[in-house]
Amino acid sequence: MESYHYGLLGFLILLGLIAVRIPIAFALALVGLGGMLWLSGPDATFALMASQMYSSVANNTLTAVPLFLLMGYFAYHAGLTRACFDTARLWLARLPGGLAIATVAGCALFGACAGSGVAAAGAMGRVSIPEMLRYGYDRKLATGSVAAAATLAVLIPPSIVMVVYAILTEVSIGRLLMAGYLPGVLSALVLMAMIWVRVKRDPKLAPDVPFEITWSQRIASLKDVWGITILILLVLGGIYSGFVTASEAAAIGAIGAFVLMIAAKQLNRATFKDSMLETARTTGMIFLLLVGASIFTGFMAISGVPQKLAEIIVEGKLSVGMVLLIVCIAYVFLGMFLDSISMMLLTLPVLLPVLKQLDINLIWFGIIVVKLVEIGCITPPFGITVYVVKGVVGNTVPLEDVFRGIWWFLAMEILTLLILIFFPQISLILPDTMLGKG
Amino acid sequence: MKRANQRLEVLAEWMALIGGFVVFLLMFMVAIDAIGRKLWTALPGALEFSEALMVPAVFLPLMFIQMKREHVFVSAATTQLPIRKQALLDGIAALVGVVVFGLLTWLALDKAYQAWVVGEYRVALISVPIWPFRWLIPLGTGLMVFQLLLTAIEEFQRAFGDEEPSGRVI
Repeated sequence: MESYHYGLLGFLILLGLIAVRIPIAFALALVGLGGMLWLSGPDATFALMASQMYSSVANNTLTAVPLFLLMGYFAYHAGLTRACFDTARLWLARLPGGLAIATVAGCALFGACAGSGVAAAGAMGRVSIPEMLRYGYDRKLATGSVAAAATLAVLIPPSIVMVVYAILTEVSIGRLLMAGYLPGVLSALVLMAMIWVRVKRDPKLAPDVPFEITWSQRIASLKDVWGITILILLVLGGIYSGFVTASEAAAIGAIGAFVLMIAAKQLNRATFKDSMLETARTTGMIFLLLVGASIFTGFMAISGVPQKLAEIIVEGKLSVGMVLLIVCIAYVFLGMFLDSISMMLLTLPVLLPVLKQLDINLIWFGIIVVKLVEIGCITPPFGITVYVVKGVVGNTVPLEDVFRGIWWFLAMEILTLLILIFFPQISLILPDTMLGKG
Repeated sequence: MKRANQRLEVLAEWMALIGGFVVFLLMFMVAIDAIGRKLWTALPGALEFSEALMVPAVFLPLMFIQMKREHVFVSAATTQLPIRKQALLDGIAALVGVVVFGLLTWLALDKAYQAWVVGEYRVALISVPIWPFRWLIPLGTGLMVFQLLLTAIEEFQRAFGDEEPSGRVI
């Protein structure tokens, strides 16, 4: 047997272990350790492991992960989800399907303060779904808009998934975050346009809201979101101008969110403790996966599987398009079972040499992967935000309806994905014109 | 037994809280360093310290995460199995964790001891001691291994006990 055979065998064993409920971090570490012991013996393996525990964690660029998490939890406790929805509602409610459109806009706005959509799905769902149902909105439209729009937080920076991708592929975190802004805005606009068109054609889906909104109310509502605007500009402007690195922007953004939490009089023992515990929990969870992945990646590299795969693709003269198609299908499939970060940990170490061989722009590819991950968050049977929304609505809307409500949104997400694949400029224009090196 | 469990829960939660609070401190340190560097001068040793602070932020919460059973796993392939079988698999999974992270804990302990003996530090504007942070790795993983042992016992009891096990929603 050649060494890459052991690599392939290891990969299959890994999938088997994951299928029988072994936590992914444990499975990665076990197979990685076993494989390395087999291929390079105990002395080299143990020496590498002992130093890797420290080095795969204590790295300056990695501080962006806990700091963006902290920023998100502070923003959540500052009540920014509600503020985002309330303002969007006043500005957009008069449009056809206005409350659903406002939900999408509110989620996009909140996504610019938080790195993950799960918290947003819960918070936004509690605010906007009862409001939509009260005015007679279709249940599928109401729940679907929250479940789909909450995932925008994954694409709109800050984004934990993006930071993890950047770490795994060694691209600049700042550049990747910048690349996410326009695709994020595009995704939001596509979702809003779809709601508008559908309600235009079938007004029963979303009856007009009966209340009048004056311009003075609209202007007044802006005072609730000035803090958010400054927060977004600080992070966006800081990274774009090259004034700060991604980690520094995360720290400054977290302080900004903390100040907003104090200003909203939401800082107390319970919210502070919850922010600390949630940050610790998610940080530990993500990094244990990363530690496991670094061990597994070490084994994969020694076994030569990634290089072999790259050779096969070059010999088979597979085009970039073919490879992308395979990647898309694989991710949609994996997205049915795996969470976003595990999905990247399993695939990227093997894919990376292939991508480099084909000279694929890793920032652009990153945006496509993140978009695919986002789609994975809403695809049945295990779309995470769908279950969060279901948890919020309780028994008022059956699970089948929540999933049925997703289809239109899913179709739009796939449309946006295609646009992003065919027009790489949308992703690349911001990072390419950045002043800093990121 | 019940009281011992409560104490363990308090311990796990405190470790996680410390981990979270370290991130809170890290936030100020990174921000002050970033702004200070542009306007006046860098915070001495901030870069080196911020890297070292990642260690408690990552490893101290591990016991709490295991206690809450929040390490990411896939249940899709096994949801149809009877609860006793699922519990058996979860017990085995915990033992796998014990073996792997037990080994890693031992390796990390050895590394921490070596770092302590030579007084490992990093040279910056001020010298930043690294060796105390090295001890936090085996502390965090060791406590997780201990919690994993408890998980294994609990799951095997569920799998083989006389009492019909109840389903758990995770």
